[in-house]
Amino acid sequence: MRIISPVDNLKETHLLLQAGADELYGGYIPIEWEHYSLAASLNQRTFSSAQIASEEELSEIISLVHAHQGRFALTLNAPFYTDEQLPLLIEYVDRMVTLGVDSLILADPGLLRLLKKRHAPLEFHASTLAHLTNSGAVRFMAEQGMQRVVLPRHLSVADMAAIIQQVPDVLCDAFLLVGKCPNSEGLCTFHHSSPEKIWPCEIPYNIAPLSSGASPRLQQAMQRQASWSETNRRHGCGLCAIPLLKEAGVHGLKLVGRGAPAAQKVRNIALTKEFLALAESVTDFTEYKRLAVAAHQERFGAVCHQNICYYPEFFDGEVV
Amino acid sequence: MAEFESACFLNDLPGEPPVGYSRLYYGAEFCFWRLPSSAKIVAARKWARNAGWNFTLVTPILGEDERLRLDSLLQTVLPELDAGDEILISDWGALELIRVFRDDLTIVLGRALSGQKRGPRILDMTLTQEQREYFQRGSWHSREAVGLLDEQRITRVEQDNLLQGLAPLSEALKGSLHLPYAMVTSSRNCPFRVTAECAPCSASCGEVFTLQSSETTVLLYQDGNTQFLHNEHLPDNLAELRIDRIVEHQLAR
Repeated sequence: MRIISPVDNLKETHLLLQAGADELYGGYIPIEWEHYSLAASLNQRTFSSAQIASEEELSEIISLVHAHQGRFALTLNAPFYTDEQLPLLIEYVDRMVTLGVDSLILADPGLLRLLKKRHAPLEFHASTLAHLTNSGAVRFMAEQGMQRVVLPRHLSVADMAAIIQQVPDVLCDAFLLVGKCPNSEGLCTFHHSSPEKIWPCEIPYNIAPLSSGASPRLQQAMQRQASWSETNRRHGCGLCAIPLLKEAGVHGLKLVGRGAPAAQKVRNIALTKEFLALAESVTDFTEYKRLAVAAHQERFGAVCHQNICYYPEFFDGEVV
Repeated sequence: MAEFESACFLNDLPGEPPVGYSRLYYGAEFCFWRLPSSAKIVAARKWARNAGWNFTLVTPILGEDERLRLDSLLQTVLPELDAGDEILISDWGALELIRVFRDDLTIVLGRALSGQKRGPRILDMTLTQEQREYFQRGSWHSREAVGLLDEQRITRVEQDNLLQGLAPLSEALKGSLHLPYAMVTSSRNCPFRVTAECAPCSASCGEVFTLQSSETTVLLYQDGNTQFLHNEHLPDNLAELRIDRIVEHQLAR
């Protein structure tokens, strides 16, 4: 499986490739987008540290990636763009193609239609924002021109295996490490714009029953919901599932963390690489899992928890 | 005189149809396990027919296992529908399942696929005119996206009632506006769910809890796997927005 890492600047690019990333992805906001700014971001990130600073820097990043026989994917994954924005994006993508971008990560089917006609050689990825959670939806988007899909969070490995079996011509990537969300990103319409990067799913809400006389089931549901404000989403994991993801036919492991420090990205790549190797060499899954659980604790300084387990069907701890 | 069709989304059908409506929405949008059985759907179709109402079968977001279950259910239900009935899809994966059995049925695109930005933080942001206009749109406002719908023979899209207002749809489309609860976020990670991911859900859905924070006065309602906000303000320019149907919801309980 390929290791896919975010990249935000040239300085960290060499480190990420040296650590073992096969593909990098990132976003860049061009000057012509200034009317919309980061508030209506063209790539789902509302903070500048998650953006490559200039076209020149992006060009150098792509050159470095290609020198390492890697690939670079540009994120253009807002759920929709308007008729006023699309001409800007067409010119923008024309320039990005000349810089050597290999693929685009998209969610808007309208943009896909335009770009597929204009830049057919590019590889088009369906972002998790496209929310393709079954083989029929993947097939539909493949008919529109998507060749690769980032499978959304909260799909089980069995779900992924079934989808891949049904649509074998479409490459599927799965999330790993950091940034586990309680909600399904393609269905989440909260605006992620807090300067402190505290997203609406992390707020310590006052949670109460709508009507009096909450049943034990409702109380348990409220407790589960409240547990997200006590969860560090940046501890997202999934290491235990790597052997099963490989067996399912997952093409790439997509690491989260645009805007995170380089050292964190490097650690995530190294950890993934280590466990890809262990998935080959350790044939006893119980032993593999023991190593993965220990590695999670060492990496994040916290024990496993159901909320931050990307594939909770393998979670053995206490369920809230 | 009303300039729009009034529809009612009901989970439990009363003995007497409520007054003031002419269309029944029946089914589930966000959770497969809330989709009634094929027998109940056929009975609901009959209930609507007896009431003199039109009928829209609502299908939900699907995982792979759920896609197969929906396929099985549709094989029973679709032969019972008339050409005038509608099927709302909340997932592109449902389209092929319907078309393979009944190419003549009208397909409506659900609000789960509308791409609209509903979160209440938008109200606290200082927006330029361009930004405001952007946030009043959704996935089906651009010409290219409308072109895709045209190829799929889809002419009706369901919209949520955004706190920041709505932009008009294309002349090629008609819109249904859902009131008073707008979907804000949804997840397969349902707080009510206790069974393993692929197994049918055994949770007794229907109770609702609220989420309140100091950062906004807008209250969120968690109903099953989905959070909603309440916005009952009906836009006064429905015709201009190309909205000709209002769909009224109740929270489950």
